Amino acid sequence: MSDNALLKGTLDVLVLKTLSWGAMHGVEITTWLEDRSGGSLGVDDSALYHALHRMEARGLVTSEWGITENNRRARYYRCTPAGRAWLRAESERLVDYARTLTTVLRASRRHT
Amino acid sequence: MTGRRFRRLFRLPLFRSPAEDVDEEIRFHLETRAEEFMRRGYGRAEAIAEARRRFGIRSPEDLELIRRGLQHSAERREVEMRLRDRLDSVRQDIHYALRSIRARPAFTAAVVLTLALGIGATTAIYSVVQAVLLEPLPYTRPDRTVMVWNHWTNWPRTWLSEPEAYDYAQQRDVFESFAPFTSGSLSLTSGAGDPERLNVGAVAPALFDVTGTRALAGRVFLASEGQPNAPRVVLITQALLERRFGGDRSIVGRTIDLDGEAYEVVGVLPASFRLPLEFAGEHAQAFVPLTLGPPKEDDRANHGLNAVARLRAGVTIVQAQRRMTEYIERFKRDHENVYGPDFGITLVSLSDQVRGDVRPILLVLLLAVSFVLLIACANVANLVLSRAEARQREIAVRMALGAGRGRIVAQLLTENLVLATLGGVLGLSLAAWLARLLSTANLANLPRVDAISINGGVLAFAAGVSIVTGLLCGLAPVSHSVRGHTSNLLRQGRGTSASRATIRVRSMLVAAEVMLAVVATTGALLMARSFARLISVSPGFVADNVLTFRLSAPTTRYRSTTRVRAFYATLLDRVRALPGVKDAGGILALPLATQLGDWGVVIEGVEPPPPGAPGPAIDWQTATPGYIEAMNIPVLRGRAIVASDRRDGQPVVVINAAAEKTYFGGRALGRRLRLGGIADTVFRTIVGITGDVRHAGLDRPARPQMYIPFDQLLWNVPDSNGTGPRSLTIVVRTTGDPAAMTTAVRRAVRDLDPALPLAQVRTLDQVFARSVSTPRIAALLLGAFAGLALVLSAIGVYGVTAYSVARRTNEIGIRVALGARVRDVILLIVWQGMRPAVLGLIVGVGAALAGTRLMQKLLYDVKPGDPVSLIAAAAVLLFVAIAANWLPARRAASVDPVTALRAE
Repeated sequence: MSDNALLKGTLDVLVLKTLSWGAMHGVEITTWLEDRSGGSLGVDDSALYHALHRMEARGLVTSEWGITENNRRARYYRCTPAGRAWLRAESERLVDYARTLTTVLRASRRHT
Repeated sequence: MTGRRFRRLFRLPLFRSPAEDVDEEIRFHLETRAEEFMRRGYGRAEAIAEARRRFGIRSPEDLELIRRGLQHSAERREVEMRLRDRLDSVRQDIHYALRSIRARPAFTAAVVLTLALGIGATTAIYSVVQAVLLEPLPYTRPDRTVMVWNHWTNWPRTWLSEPEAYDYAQQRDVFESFAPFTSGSLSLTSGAGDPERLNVGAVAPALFDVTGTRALAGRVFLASEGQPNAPRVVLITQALLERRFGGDRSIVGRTIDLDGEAYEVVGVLPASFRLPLEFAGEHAQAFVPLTLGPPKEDDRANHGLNAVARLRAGVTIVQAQRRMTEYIERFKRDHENVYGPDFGITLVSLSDQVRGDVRPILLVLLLAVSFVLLIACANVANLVLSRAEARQREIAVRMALGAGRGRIVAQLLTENLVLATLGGVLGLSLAAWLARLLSTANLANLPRVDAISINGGVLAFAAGVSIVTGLLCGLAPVSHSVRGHTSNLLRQGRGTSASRATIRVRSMLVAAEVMLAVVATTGALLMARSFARLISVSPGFVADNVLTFRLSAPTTRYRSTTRVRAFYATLLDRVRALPGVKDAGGILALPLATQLGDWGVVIEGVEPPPPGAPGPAIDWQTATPGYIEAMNIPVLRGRAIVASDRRDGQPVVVINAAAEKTYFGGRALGRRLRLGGIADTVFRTIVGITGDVRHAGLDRPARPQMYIPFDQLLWNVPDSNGTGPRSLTIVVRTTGDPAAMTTAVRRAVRDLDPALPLAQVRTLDQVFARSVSTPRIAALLLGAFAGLALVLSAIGVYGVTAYSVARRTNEIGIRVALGARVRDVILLIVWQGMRPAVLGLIVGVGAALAGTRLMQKLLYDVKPGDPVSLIAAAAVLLFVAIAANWLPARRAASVDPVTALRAE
């Protein structure tokens, strides 16, 4: 894994965030995330599918087979209301976490 | 929701597995990614390589690994989603059910209360059935435990003598252990409280091998303690220990005083321990060893022992009975001059012995109460049917929107189950209350009453009944709801959709309710008539205004028989002198409360039968002067026992009319008879004939009986010997309330002997009531169930007619507008409503004719097919049904035609 490896559990939040814009298939999710994270996510693409399976089992996303613009069969994923609720709670937690971490790291630098 | 539905629709026809899904998705991902990279300027081969690398494939075997991993997680996802789906739909159903239940409180209350009544009553009776009939009796091997009885033609189950018990016990190929026992009472003077007359079992030490009972503290009896001249030892129950000795188990090893003798306490038995014949009514609280010496041939005809035995493993009761019958044939040849051809031995399984008598009554009660439950069910089904009809459109809409039939059925059934559960919970509290009431009711003849409780088994029963009830009440309406064609239902207007099928189902439910109610009512009427006849039978004495209690003069202070007799004579004189006392006397065995034995007699001038052949035998009593008078037993001819009937007077006897008729051709006065055996060989002159007393119960015909003067009993035995009866029941006839005399009588006894306890102090009325407590409670319960059945079926009939009338408001309005008279409209409606009721009535009378045959054993002087009960039951039901139809009919007919015509 590369330097900007994702924190454990963060991938689920990112995928759900992506899906909050609408139903997408796996490749769309991958490229959407890559575009917004400036290159690579630092995880294998296959990890994305594990995350999707995991969240579907928990009822956070649902999936269905559909047809792409190029007329190919692809599996589309969609965020459920439960997924949205979870995303909201989890993003808040992560933002809080990041804020705390930032404060602590800055503070310690001032005192050294 | 929609996503799930779509996915399911998509997948099912294709039968794709999650693994195939995963493969396709991987292929799609790799290809699309490669195309993307090519668009960004990669060469075809590089693009494919980059897509594979980004996916996580860095070596050739990686693809397979990733594929497996994804397939695995996809499969797990499927499992969890299916589970969640199911939970979701159950939660949804319950939520929906609760919501619709809350939305209609009247409907809910009606259903829940009806079910609670049915389930509660059924569960209460079941709790009795379980305790009394189903739970294993508290011995180690109840299935191999048998009671051993002698039988003669007139005595199907009777006592053994000591030599017989000794002989039977030797049959080791049949009996693994064999224990004679008997029970009596002793006065306990140790411990807290007044001296007390205690029920005491005298048991062979082997009894505890038969029952498998262990002592809580100390030990049970040693075999040596059943030998003559063994030291005096006693076992007491935990209950007695707590009541009189503060529960202190260090009592083991110390002595207590019984009838003035010191007995060493060797052990404490569980409070629940019972002798085989004492599971109902009073029971022994202390046990002493039954001492049996080497058998004396003279005692062979002196029968007074019970025996219980454990069969050898592998020997069935049928085999045991056959072997013992064979044995008895040899045995009779060895004792030709003692046993006649009608003598035999009967083994009775413990279960039959303890429960045999109450089984029929409990099964009839269970049947009656299940009728109530079924009627309740039918009513609820009717209510649910009306509900379902009102919701027909709602259901049709949901089906049109794609809800599967299965989902709708599951939802409706969930609603019924939730209602049934509510009814079950409420019913259970009703059952707990009823069961407590029953277990504290004075049911002298019901065994194991103390074991009645709402335990796990009863809870499981209630839960099962609730679930089955919920499904039963729901099935007809539910299947009806989802059968109809969706489109038709949607097109129909509100309130016109009731189909012929519904009407038929409702009519059938009403007919079934009426049928069940007819059977229940007939049963209750039969039982009530039987009980009325039973208690109108004269017992042969007058029960009101008599106080009774039992006394026993212990050998320590009353060594000789003379002293015993003097004690009772003095006591009775003093009691008679009390103000408010009319008469008083003593008797060996109080009628309706005890058993009598017979005594073979030789009648002067009648050739005795050859040895072994059955001769005349008369149930014997011994009574003091005043007894016959105090009981108001009529003296038909001659006289009763008088004070001069003593040892220095003429030996006499008083017999009853049955004895005179059986053995003296109706002319016994002045003739003489002699008792069999060696203890009393003098010829006694018959000086009086009394009326018959039904000693063994109101339902048993009186048997030949004789009263031997207490002061003359055992004529040949010297008084100094002190053998002979020492316990008498004293009966005191009073001018006022007999219970109010208790204190005065108690004082009279205490003045004479302060250490003498009074036992079984009760009025004769109480003794009488106790003897008929089982048929009384059966009549009461059957009456209550029939009442419930009547009320519930009336509600059922009313409900259906009211419903159909409400639906026909329009039609009725037209009829009235066209000039039909109110009376004609009422008649029309009542007649239509009566049709199913009459059908139920006819079938019900037939069912009652067949069904009440089960009650044969319970009825006294009433036949199961008793026309009076049948006609009365049918009439009651007819009246109830007409009334239940007339009410809604009158209301409908009195509606203003204009309003009716406007009704939708």
